Amino acid sequence: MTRHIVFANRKGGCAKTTTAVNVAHSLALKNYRVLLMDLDPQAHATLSLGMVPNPGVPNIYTLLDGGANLEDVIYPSRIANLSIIPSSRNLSVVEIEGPCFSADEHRLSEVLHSKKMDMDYVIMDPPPSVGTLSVNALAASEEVYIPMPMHFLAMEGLAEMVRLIYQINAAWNPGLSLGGIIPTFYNKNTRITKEIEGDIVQTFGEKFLAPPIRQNVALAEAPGHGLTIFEYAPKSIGALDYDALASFIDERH
Amino acid sequence: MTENCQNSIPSRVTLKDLLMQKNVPVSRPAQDNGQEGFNRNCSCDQYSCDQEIASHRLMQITDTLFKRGVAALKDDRPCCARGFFETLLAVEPDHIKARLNLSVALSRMGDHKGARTVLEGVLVNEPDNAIALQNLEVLDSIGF
Ligand SMILES: Nc1ncnc2c1ncn2[C@@H]1O[C@H](COP(=O)(O)OP(=O)(O)OP(=O)(O)O)[C@@H](O)[C@H]1O
Ligand SMILES: [Mg+2]
Repeated sequence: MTRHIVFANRKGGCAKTTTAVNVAHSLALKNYRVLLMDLDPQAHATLSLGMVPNPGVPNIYTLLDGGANLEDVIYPSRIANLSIIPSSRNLSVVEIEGPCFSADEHRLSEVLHSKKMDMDYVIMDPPPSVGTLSVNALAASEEVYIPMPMHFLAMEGLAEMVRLIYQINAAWNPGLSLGGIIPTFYNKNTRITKEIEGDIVQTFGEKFLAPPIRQNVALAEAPGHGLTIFEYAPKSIGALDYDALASFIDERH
Repeated sequence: MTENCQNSIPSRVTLKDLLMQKNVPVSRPAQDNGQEGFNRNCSCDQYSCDQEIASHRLMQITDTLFKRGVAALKDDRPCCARGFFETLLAVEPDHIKARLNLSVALSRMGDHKGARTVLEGVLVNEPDNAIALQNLEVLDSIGF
């Protein structure tokens, strides 16, 4: 059974892409077949794997537009077991034009679930806005993990995300579950970190607090080289933390 | 030092407060019964809570669909609007405002006859509905 996972947060810059890319690589290292799906017009996940976003080749936009089949848009990456559906700038058209019918939120779900996939994990990296692309990703997934920095305003964003999950449950995908909340840019010594962790445990239960990802400069540097943390700095704290997170997600099922 | 600071700070807003402010049901997932799913977390032995979530969801679905329909109408996308209002009416057939807006969407798409049927349906429930009466007059005036 393929697990469809989305790392989502309507707040920008909370490490969605970093998490999607590095969890995808970590799962691939654990011998799972992984498909990383870049749903963001910024194409940061595509760039992070060292690929050049190219509007001229079939990509996620072509897929959502009905101009290509799923198999046409899946590309192998240089990493064993890891494939990618790349994004490119032209994806923003979908976001701007919006759906022309309410069924459009299901477009990705229909494409992904229409045939059996030869994948253990499909990992989606949506844009920060709650538009067609994010809703498509949430409608096509069974599990949503929310990366969030341990700040008060991010907690406000978390509450919004939980509300969005209920809305998606009600309107588009009753099968979507919260997988966990991932503390990012983590510093265990601050009071706010402890308070927010306590809140998460109290509200959702301990099982929903994923292992944290500590602040680590190698994580910020790696995408600039088109590398994941496991290629760029395999012994770094970042690699250690993402490995632990991938194990948590893997064992979550 | 730190202890003193902590004592002087007024009580903070918690995640639970934020969820309640946003009208999001706050419920802890079932711990020991293997039911971990967030959206399934009240389905075990908490029937009343389940009911509450179900009705909350229903309110949200109609609200979301209605807002999206209105936005689509304002955006001059009557075909989208029609989809949203029809979906809403499948969930809540007596939603009068959705029926009124559906008739507007149909009319904008050129289906004046369909618009008339919807408006006449509104009048069955609310014979004095001013908007339905007014819109029927408009349809009369353009020969439908
Ligand atoms: N643990 C970390 N330590 C240091 N830097 C990090 C860490 N995680 C992410 N970053 C950096 O923070 C920035 C934002 O991360 P990222 O692009 O993953 O966020 P995002 O949520 O995908 O953003 P967007 O909302 O724009 O899609 C990037 O420059 C990334 O390299
Ligand atoms: Mg991103």
